[in-house]
Amino acid sequence: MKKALDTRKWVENYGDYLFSLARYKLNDTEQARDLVQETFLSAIKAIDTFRGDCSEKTWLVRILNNKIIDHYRAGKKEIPMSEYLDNTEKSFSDHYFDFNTPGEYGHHKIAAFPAISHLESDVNINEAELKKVLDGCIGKLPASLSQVFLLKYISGENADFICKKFNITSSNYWVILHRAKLLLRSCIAKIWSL
Amino acid sequence: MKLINFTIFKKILYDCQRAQRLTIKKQESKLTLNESIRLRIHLHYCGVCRKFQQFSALLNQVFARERHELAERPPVTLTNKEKTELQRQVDELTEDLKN
Repeated sequence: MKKALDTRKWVENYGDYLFSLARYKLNDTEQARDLVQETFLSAIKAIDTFRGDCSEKTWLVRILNNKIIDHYRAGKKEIPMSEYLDNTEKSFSDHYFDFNTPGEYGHHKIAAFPAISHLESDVNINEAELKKVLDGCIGKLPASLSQVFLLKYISGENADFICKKFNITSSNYWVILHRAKLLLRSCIAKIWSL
Repeated sequence: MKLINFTIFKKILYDCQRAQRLTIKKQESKLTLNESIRLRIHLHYCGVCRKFQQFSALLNQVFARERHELAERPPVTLTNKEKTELQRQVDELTEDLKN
């Protein structure tokens, strides 16, 4: 059965959350404010398409995420995600793993995995500091990877949804998360070794 | 006759890319029995991949908290004036579409 949505408290209930989410992803307060406005207005226009298979909040977040993805895509020639992965597979893998020396079978390259003493010692990690470094490093991820990464880790979207959205297989999805985490690790190691 | 196929064994021990992809998969969903055995053997011998596993789990924790924080205590807020104006637009459009 369809649930009627009550829009009278939308801004009060979800405004700040959507705004914070958008700002986190875009790193631009003005743009974030505009997209929140667009999100609410598009949602009202599309209100008949709300099927009630997720919460009102999740539904609004998805509309916002679509707007953010459109914002990333604006003006860029769109390469399908799976094609992007194929095109970059070799150069990416070769940076971290050795497939060229016979008998190495994808063994890690030592130089690509420097120890991060801040994280790997037994001392408590200063999470605030780690977050600060991470925020900067996320900003440096290739847009294709960061879109998926943020949908998963900041919006909390599930794998099925993301795979459908980008038309990718679940193994593509693991590859994207792996790449993003490798890049974040390298970035953190670089900053903390200075 | 060889009892063990050493090439397969070497692949399991050496293929860090595969082991790390399995680590990601394991932390997000479920491994098959075969994958699970391969990963366990690999991690037993490979310190770099054990470190990667820890790092990956740490990120999962940090982001889970970040997600929670964003929802519970949004770090940036719209001003009351912006909210009133935005809600006015929402109400207006809702009314328009009803008619």
